[in-house]
Amino acid sequence: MKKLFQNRLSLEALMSYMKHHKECFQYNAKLLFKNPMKLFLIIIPISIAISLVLVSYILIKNINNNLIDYEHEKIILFLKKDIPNNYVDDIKKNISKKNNIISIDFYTEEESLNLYSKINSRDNVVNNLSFNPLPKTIIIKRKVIDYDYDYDYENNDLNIFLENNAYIDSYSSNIIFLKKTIYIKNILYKFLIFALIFLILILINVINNYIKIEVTSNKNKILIYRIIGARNSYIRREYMYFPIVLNFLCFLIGFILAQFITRYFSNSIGDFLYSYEIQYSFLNISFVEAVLMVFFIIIIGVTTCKIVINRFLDEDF
Amino acid sequence: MVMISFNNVCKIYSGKKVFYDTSINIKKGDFIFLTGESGSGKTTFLRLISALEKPDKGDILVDDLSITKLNNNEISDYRKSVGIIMQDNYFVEDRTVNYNISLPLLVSHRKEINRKIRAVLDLVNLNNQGNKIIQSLSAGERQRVAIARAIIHRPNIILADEPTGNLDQNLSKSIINMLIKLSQYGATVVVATHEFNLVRELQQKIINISNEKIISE
Repeated sequence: MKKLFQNRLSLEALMSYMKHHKECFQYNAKLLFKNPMKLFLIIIPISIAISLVLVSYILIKNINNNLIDYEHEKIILFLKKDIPNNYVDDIKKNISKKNNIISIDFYTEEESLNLYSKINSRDNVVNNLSFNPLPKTIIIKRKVIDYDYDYDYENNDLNIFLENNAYIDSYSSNIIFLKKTIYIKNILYKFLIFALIFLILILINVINNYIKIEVTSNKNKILIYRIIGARNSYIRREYMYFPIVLNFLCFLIGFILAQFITRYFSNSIGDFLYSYEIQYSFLNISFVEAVLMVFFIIIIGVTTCKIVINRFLDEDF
Repeated sequence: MVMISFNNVCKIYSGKKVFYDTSINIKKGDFIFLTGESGSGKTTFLRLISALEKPDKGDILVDDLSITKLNNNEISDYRKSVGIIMQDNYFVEDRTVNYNISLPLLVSHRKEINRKIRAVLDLVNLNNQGNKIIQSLSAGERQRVAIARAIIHRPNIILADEPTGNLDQNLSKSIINMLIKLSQYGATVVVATHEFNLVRELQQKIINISNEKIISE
């Protein structure tokens, strides 16, 4: 390209260069649809692999999006009515010494009611109450040890302290819910990695085999290009559009497939979250994410194609 | 002025010496008949000049450029100045004569492609055949398309391996005369052939290859 502009800058030369790109694109598009059975055998595995990646990615994205306020364990302590103020400070001081504590917030009876009203959007109910049923409250946020599913959240030093403190009436934690979501997320992350590896292997295998067959059956044509002085880049261009056209098509099919699968799983996740009174809202992949995904698979396809052709040119000519 | 120079070139194929310590010079504008028995190394000689193969030892200079030391891209650029007619002519079979002939120009992104195609088709007597698909051509027509493809980009060197193999005597003679004419315009032409009658009749320079040696006659 650089040489083209340096030495032979003319409209006709540029047109000839562009025309070659156009011809290569058309040739590869035709090549893909020439044999429907071959097309079917190539497109199906790649599309399935792409849809698996998309499904796991969309589900992780949705879980993260819907549980944006559920990153840490939240423990709510209801204190006894007769607790002196200096004991509240003692409790806070003791809790802050425990492991993995992120924050400790104290709320008076009135503040507790306001917070309840705010979190649950129940202003009408709260405003009509003749008395305040809530006691003084402490809300503790504790870091969740993400990948340690077996961590004992019930028999650790903080929980033992809460159980044995005479001024704590009761306490509740969302840890069971968090453990379940972390477990699901961990499985989905592992599945995403597996699906990505599967996709890369499928792409490399399919494109490697297809390009090998194509260049071997067009050996004479490539020989012509060599003897008339075509550079490797010119010969490669003849086949380079194949992975681009193929992967773009596979992404479209994989995306449609992923939509059906994610809707099914999203319903299950929605039901699960609804049982914890969390409103589920579905979030699809964005345009930028789709472009990045297409770009990623095209890069793998083009690189594989380039390596196969280069090896062929180096070995046979 | 020396165009092609072999300096102590050795080429060995699986233990069999094709050339051994061979040196020869070919001047610019020369028309050379390359003769020798089958398997003597005529095709290897042409493949060495076209850089399709490298010598095991020695150096080959073309227009003072050592083609044995070029990298892949430089070899490709060098081949743009060489016109090659091979023994087995290969084409893009499902495309037209025009497309096949224009390939060297397309690869180099040259100008005025259509005008050059018309001129070269006229030269090889294939007027009005440009839009025919290669598969539909006779052996003689295919040979002439190969010649047209080799000369369309006005190469400095034309290498022809049995270019008249599939042609009748009259057409063979006219093709060789055309190559001689191109040499008179400054191109260096090397033609490997078996047709000794033609060689004797046209009285041009001869290089004979025999017993690992190249002898200029």
